Amino acid sequence: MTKDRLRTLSVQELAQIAEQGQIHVLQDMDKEALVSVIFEALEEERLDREETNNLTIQIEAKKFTVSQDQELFLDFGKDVELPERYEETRLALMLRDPSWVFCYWDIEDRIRNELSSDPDYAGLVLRVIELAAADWSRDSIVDWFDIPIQFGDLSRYINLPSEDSFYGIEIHAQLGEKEALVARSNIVSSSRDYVAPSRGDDNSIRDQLIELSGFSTDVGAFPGAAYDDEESPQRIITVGGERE
Amino acid sequence: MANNLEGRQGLISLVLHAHLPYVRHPEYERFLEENWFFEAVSETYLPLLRMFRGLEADSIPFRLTISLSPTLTSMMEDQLLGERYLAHLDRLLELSESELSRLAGDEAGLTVARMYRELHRKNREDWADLYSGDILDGFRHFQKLGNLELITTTATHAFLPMYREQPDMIRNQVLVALENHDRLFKAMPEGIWLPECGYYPGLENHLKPYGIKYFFSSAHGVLHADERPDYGVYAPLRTPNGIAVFARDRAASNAIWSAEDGFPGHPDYRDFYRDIGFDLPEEYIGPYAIDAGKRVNTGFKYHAITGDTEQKALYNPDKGRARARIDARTFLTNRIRQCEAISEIMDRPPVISAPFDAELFGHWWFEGPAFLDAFFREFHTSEHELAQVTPSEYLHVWPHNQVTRPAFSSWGDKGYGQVWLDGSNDWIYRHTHKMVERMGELVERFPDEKGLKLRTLNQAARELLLSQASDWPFVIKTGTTVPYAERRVKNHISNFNRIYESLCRNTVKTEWLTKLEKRNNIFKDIDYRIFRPKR
Repeated sequence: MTKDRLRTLSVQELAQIAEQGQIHVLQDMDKEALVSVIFEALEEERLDREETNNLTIQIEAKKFTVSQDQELFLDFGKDVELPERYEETRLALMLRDPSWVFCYWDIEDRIRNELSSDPDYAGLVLRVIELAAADWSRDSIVDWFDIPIQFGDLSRYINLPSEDSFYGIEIHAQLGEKEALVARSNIVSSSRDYVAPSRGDDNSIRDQLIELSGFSTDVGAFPGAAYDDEESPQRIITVGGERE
Repeated sequence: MANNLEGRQGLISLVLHAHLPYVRHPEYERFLEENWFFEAVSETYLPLLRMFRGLEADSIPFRLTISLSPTLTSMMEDQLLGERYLAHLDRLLELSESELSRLAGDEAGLTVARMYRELHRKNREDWADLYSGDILDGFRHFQKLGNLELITTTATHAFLPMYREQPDMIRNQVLVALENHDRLFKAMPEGIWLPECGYYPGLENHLKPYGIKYFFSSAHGVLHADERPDYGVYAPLRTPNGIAVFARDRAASNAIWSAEDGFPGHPDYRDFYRDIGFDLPEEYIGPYAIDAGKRVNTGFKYHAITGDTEQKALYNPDKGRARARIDARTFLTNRIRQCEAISEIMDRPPVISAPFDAELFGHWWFEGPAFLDAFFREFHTSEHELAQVTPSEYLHVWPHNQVTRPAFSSWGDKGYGQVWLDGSNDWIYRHTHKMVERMGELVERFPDEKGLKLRTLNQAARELLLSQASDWPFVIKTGTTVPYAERRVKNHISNFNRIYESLCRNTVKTEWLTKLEKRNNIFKDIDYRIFRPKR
């Protein structure tokens, strides 16, 4: 985007762009000031986007670049309304990365009404449960913690305490001294983000090949190659089991 | 070429993944986002095919694995898009003539303008005369010669880890893609490109029933496998059910991906960003660069990368091509040195797997096809102990590989699902997951329909698949053309929900359905019954 391109737009269009892009502008700004503020905001956003994406994603995004005007929120067509909920009781858990899950849920109106009309109703919690295996048996439970939620909440990201473990989530209604299970999620296995420990035999060649694969900070770079890639987690568990 | 692989010092396996989402809008006379396809055809797919023909004419052997996504091949064989592409080329040829007049007397500028005129002229000739509108014929030709190993990806390029709780859906994404590939290329693919290299443990179980023998992973997907990999990324792993997984080599990849550390950032190469669509006055460029009030790129870019400055030098095509030859030689030399070092500690030749987005070559890195051309020629003429290999050829010689399960991974930013599951796009999945359930419900309620209901159910299947494209959450997250991406997802969800509700009430409107079938016409032969839930 260039300032010249912004100057070709009317003050009304610039105001619309600022509104759509949630760019803070003052009411008494003249056109040149509007252009400057919008340009700086768009540039900042563009740089943020580029900095937070790795090479693969930056290049992939170029396929969708046919106009610098795409940054201008000029498409003010009629939006399609989607249902916010599907009137069902459901709790879905999705693994985003080794440390975070996304969960979304819904509680059907009948249950909401029953709970909220119960005189002992004291609130809802998301119970995040670490499991030793991919099953819900009582013996599998390793640990758990609660996150209070409201009826109006529908989704949340949750940080997982342990890698390479199993997690499930339940919604519980607190009813006085008792609890009622409202919904239970699928179980996810939190991923590992390190090289597996050695199997005890001679690992020297294996370790060298892993380092040559680019997964060590002290590996020498080949000419023309960038080995010091910081885009992905790169921890190594050495033979002794310590992380570098 | 598969002969004598065992005695080599190293093996190079280049992979190009060609994909664009399905964008086709017959309801508009022209549609901006269709340019994604036109630009990729003009700058990547046709130039690559021309490069292959040049190698064939000069008897230069080459091996390349190309993944062609079903959405892309559907656009390549679509008549309407073919006609629009020719009209697009005609406009560019007209602009070429205007440019030659505008630049009269400016010899350096004229050289670049003539280059574009030649590019568009050749593209028109290839598309219309050589391939008679069927560019896939070009790929078939080189598949037949054994130069290309063609593989596929999932039906609409869904990022599969987001659907791991819905295995029927994953199988259907794979099945529809394989049927499409078989119809077009008369052969089932040996391998599959997992969209965005998105893998989760157990995914291979949904590939095995279809005869898939290999897929690709990011480096950390293999290096973080259940067991420490014996050969790092330099040999494939074998998943417990026998499918091989080849990991991306970072050194080879970054040399080509990176504008900063890699080759494409050299000042002799053409700049991607400066375009006369934005540089020239509206009175002149308007007919070619203004679309529904927006300025658009024309593809006429006259500047070299030059460096971090606004005052860019004029592009010199000869210097760009010469630089591509130098860089291809350097790339090969580095791979030779890499393999020399690695082969000393391996008991078989290391395989360097280097997968890239195909559109990187030509569209973003204008000289990319020239680089590949120079690489294959240099590979043929210079002395070394390397060989080019496709994954199938490798597995033919080394079918036994370390058995272990790779880790959840993708090639996206931070290595997992962060791009496709983010605060900006996570709203999508509540709807698409629900659609999968509802589709199963529809098949159970209407197990064997004919006539209008059959058409309606098949359209529901298309809308479901289209809603799952990884491109829409990608675009929403990366911020390139957010309103369009949001609208696409919402429209597919809304169309599906309308069909679901209509079928529940038995009130399908023929006129609306017919319009929808014409607009979202991908997978003409789809059979909704494949969505019957497996128990």
